[in-house]
Amino acid sequence: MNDPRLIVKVGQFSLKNPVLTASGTFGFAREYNRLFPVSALGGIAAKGLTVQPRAGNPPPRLVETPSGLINAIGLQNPGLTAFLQQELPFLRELGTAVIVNIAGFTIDEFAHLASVLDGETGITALEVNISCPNVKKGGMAFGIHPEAAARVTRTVREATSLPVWVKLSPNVTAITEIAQAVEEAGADAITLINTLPGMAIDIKNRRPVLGNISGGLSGPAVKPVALHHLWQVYKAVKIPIVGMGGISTPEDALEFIMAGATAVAVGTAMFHDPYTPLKIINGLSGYLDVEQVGRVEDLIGIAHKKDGLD
Amino acid sequence: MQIETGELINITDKGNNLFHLIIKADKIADKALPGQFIQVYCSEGESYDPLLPRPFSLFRIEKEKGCLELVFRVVGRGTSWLSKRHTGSSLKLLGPLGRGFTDPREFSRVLIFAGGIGMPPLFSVAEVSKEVDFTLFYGARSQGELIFLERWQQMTDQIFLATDDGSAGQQGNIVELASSLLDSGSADFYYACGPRPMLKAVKRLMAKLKIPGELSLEERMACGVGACLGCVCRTTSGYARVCTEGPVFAAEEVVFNE
Repeated sequence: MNDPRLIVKVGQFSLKNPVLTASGTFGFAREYNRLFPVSALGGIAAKGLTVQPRAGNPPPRLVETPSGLINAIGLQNPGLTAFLQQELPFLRELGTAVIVNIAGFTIDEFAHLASVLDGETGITALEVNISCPNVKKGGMAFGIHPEAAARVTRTVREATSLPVWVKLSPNVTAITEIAQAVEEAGADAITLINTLPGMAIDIKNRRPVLGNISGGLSGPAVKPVALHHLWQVYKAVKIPIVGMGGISTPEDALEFIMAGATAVAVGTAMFHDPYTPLKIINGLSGYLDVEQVGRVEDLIGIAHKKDGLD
Repeated sequence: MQIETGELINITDKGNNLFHLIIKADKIADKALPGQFIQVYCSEGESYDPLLPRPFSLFRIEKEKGCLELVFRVVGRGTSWLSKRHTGSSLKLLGPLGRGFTDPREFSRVLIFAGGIGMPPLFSVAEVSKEVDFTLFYGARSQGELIFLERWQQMTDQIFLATDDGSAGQQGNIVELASSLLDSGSADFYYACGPRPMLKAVKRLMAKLKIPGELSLEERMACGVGACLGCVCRTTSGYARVCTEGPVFAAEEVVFNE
């Protein structure tokens, strides 16, 4: 741990290593901090935050699929006020980068979240969630049109001096157009991918399994899709990209880094093995040793270069 | 809670797709309380399928031996995998998790309502209530599924049985049976675990008799530690996480769908 070769710069700031946790799979870090020191991670992305508290979707909210998981949590969270009072003081003391994921249902709500959080210490960056598939309005609607995505990005950019990351949906015709639109609107980094829409039917009840009928698919099943989107977006923008979608092993993380990710996030794999991010951090150091690579940053986007190793 | 690699000491096929496991896991056994649960990671080595661990309530907690016992029905890929493990296998476990039952020694007369594969967590609570006067209502689809009945009979002679097919005890369900036998003076607390319709009926009957109690619930689960908000149930104070605020809830808190 604390291998200086793993330090990566995402825009203006450095992460101690390129391994984060993905928003929605890590709560506000309290639970997993009881299993391992969260300070070992490059950073954590907190559960999606809305202005008002949200109860979330009716259960069942989860269904396992082959090497995957469909969830329809519905952005359950305590709301901005409770977050500031109860969660942020804890997050500040974690000793790692804290990414606050914000989800507005209107442009004004995004502006409000960004401006209130701008006045707080202990936040490394805001992650603008324009890609949640599990809420009826807002959410993904902002993430599927370049103009809307740019408008949200610009609004948040103007409301805060914090670094602005924008989390993209894979559920679009041309993800590169969205990526370029948010880059032009002032995003400091792009994170991708959010979940893919999916559903399952309970053949005994003859009804959809999920209370919300459909949800978002994540886990190893989506990894090739995420990698493909990352590959495309890396070619289309200059800002850093945080890659996520099914990452479960050091090898997965290396694939994402080589496809162009400056950092990666672990989500659903936490449920399969809570130590996954620690194993990935160790595995990255091991790769650098074996392959005699100086720094993990030397590997970012390397797969785009025409000459491979053999 | 912690992650511990346990060793499978014994596995028994009880018939009707029901299995009994004894797992040596000193650290978790040392901390576990009746009504709490563990997650068992049901895939091997490099496999990500099944992806999620499976939650199991604790049938017995043998602290001196450092053993946990599970009883479960094979219902899907995770339980199928687990049912095929052999003695000596390693099992990756996370636990103990969740909130367990109120200590039965706080009460003088206790009722236990066990429905099918909801029986196991109730056995662990009964084992700590040997000095408490308790009555068991145990129901299942048929006689073969009333597993470990002989062990219950060693603990109490106040046992009432019901089966759907009438092969043991009264034909029908335990709530109908209980309603014909109980009055408000029958007990000062109850514990129940079983299918939702049964829990709903137990709750209604006990509310009528003004006897307070606790229900152990289950829900589809992912992290098991409270982070993912996937396993919520409805309560009088909104959605609550079965893995953290539960799996045991005060009966009056639980809201059932109408």
